Amino acid sequence: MKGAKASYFLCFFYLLLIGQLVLWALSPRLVYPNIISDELFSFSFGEYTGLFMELLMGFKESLQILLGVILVNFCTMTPIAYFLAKKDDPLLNKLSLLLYFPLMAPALLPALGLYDIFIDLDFLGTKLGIILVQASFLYPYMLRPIEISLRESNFKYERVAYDIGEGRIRTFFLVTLPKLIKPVSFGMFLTLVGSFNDYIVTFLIGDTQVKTLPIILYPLMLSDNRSSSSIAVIMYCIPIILLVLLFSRSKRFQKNAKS
Amino acid sequence: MTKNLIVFLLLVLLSPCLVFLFGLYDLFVQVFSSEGLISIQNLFNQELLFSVIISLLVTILSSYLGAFISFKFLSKKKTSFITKVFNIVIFLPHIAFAYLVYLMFSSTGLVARAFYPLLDEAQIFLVNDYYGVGIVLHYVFKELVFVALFFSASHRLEDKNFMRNALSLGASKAQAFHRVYLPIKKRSLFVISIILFSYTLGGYEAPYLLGANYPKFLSVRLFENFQSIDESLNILSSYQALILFFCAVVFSIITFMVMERKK
Repeated sequence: MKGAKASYFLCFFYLLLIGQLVLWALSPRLVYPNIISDELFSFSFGEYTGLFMELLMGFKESLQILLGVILVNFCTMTPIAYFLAKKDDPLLNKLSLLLYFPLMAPALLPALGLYDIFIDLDFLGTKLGIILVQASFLYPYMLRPIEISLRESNFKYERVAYDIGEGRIRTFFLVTLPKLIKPVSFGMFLTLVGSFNDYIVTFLIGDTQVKTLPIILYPLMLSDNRSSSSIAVIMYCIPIILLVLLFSRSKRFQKNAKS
Repeated sequence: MTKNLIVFLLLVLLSPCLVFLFGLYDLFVQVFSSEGLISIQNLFNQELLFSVIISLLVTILSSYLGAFISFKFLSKKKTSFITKVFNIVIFLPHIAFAYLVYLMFSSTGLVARAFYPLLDEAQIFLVNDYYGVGIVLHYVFKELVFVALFFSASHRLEDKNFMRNALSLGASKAQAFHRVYLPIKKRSLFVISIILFSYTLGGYEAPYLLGANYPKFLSVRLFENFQSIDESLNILSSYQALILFFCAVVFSIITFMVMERKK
């Protein structure tokens, strides 16, 4: 117990950080220096109907973009991961490390360059434009888990399928793809975190036409209305927290997270 | 061999990598086709120094504290409760975490309210301050759990035995941490420090919410310059982006080399 004191203290601090959000959300007017509002239980959902509707729309837009990013990255990264794992070539393995460069470079960089191109292509202010840019810096999160899973499996089940006379395409769809459900879901989760976290690319490429959750959140956070912004942040975080709790029960999640 | 390489390149060019490369290419075109000249003083100003110092501070503090927490996990295994809380913090979006830090440490935040009789509202400048304390607090608390879990994931039985030996030979816990644990984890510490530095330097969301009007963080100023109607500022933003790009390239190469040596 003694050894874990520091981590328990840290956990307490984090829970306090998250807990204060509920306090702010439930206090329409929290006068300084009170910690608990006199109107703590006077919270009424009716006052926030407009906000809830706006957040719901934002959530819908965020979800549409997320699904687009996942689809693009899954369709393009699975063949690359499959090829890299299958060939296991030292030169290709070294070259493939270049694919992880977007993890080190700020997302703002390609977005700044693409801004001009997207004006010419009329992609500015469209969801497709945001999907393409987000996919361009979030693809390593899909590539890595799939590549690791395929390398670990060593294609032994595929070899059995070939031995019993199955073709390559049927084997890929019936043997390889079902095996990828767990790494892909982990990749999807990481993509969700990255996509929901993105403000600057959506702001730049979305050109105020696309209103995702972070785009709605920022003006709220900068306003004085802490109650509304706290409610918005809670609604923004709930899906991610629930997914973390759900995923952290899985041993595969911990294994993927480690790698 | 050549066939493999061609197939690989074709697959890469059909993927979102192409969009990323196009973005970087156009950024370079913007920089090299700009007609105005940017003075060195404009480019390497106090704000760049501010961003580098803040990023360095964040890197040192979060690496050290994260390593310390993971060192504690050697003597006492982390419970599932701790893992869950740490995972939530790691995956919580930066915007949301920045707001939590803002609510806690702002001049009318929870800390100011808790210490109200001792500190006046006007005395607390932890957020939106000149020295970037809010930004440091945000990144340190967000990243130290990442470092702690990164290190604890690589714990081996040997590490535990080294610690036991050090302690049984009369070393204090502080000595065991500084003279045994940190040297063992030297290479991982180096890699994670580079990743943290690079990530912090390129960060936008938290510095935007928690930073002051002056000095501004590099990425925040870059974006402002990009959106400005003043053309010279637009050109300056392209050069600032180039600095971030070269930092990312250099850090990627160092990380790659260290990882290769590790193999």
